[in-house]
Amino acid sequence: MSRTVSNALKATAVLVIITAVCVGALALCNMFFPKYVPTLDGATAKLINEICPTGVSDDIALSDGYIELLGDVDYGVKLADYNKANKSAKAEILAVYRQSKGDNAGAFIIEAKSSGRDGDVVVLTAYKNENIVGATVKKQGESYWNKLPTDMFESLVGENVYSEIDLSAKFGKTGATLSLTAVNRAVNISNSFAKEHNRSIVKPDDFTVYGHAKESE
Amino acid sequence: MNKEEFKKTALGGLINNPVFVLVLGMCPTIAKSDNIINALSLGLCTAFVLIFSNVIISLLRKAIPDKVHLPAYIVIIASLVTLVQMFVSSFLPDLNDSIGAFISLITVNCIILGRAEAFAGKNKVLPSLIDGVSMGLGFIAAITLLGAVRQLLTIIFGSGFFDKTMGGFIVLGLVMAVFNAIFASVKEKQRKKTVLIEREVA
Repeated sequence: MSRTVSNALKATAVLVIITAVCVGALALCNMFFPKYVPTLDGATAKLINEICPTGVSDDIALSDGYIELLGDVDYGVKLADYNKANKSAKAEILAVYRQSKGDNAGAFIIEAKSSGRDGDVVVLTAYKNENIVGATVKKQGESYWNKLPTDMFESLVGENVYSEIDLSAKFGKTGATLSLTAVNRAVNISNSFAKEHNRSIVKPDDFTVYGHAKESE
Repeated sequence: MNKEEFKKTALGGLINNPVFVLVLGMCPTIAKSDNIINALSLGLCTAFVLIFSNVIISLLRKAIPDKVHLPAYIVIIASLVTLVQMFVSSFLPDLNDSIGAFISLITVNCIILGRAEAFAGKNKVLPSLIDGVSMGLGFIAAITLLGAVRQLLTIIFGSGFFDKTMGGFIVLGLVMAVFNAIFASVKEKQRKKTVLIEREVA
């Protein structure tokens, strides 16, 4: 074996070993870092009550179980697996909430995030009867957020889960393209999730026990 | 490492300040020095990566073949940056929202690769550690000073200029000018003092 080939092999081997050690160390560290655990707190309940009113105050909606946080068993898929399978969407589903009683019983709310200009933008999108009934932002730290159209979330109301949302086409140039794209991605992944798991999330009980939902159908 | 070398390395962060003298890592320096908290946080993250990358690269300097030293350095630096990002996103989510995008960019920060290439890849572990600490502190001091000045000016004149990129450039230029003027005057005084001592001895 010539010296050149030997040197090339040595260089490759060293690079591979360094990379493998780094990847291993990061994987090990990743096991010890806490993972995101969704919680239904007062701030989230307030936002949900705004976009999908329960008919009671925020405190009662939270304490009396008008809004509940669903788990993987409720919609029949592990969120981590769903997000892994939909990496190309560049957005993630963080949590799913359901209004189990009140004015909009049977509605469900999806919390999704996508990267904007200055970090993650977290959006809550409420669905009822396969239509968007409200949407709002839960968390954002975007520099140019105030350049976004004020009626951006209102414009989503009435959209069907089967429709592809394109806020850029709707509003054109805003001066906050990255933030708008983040919202668009978050709503679209919520739509996809709602479309696929609508039947699992909305229990038949929602339409029989609590009369409101049945009447509104 | 003799006393003179130690002094030279330890004062590297001041004499060859990465921001005000070497003018390296300008992208995060201007983008995230809009307030003192962001500036200090980004400075600490960068310093952490700088110190540990210097130490690791120095430890492996004989094992890394010359032809692949740059990709190897980048892998090491990127791994440390990923570790910092994992830590910040797990334990400091608010900070992650404000500087998260710029943590990833530490990987391509010229200061880190520059010190790895110019110092850590050629020196032993202890001098590399001292160099990392010195340069890291120099970067923290510079970016925090810039953040403090910009935040103060924003409080006085209102937001919209000094907290934006254009204001950042102007403030950086002014602070850099003041720093270099003070530093040049100190150096001149030292030189004159040395000349006087030499004359007296002669």
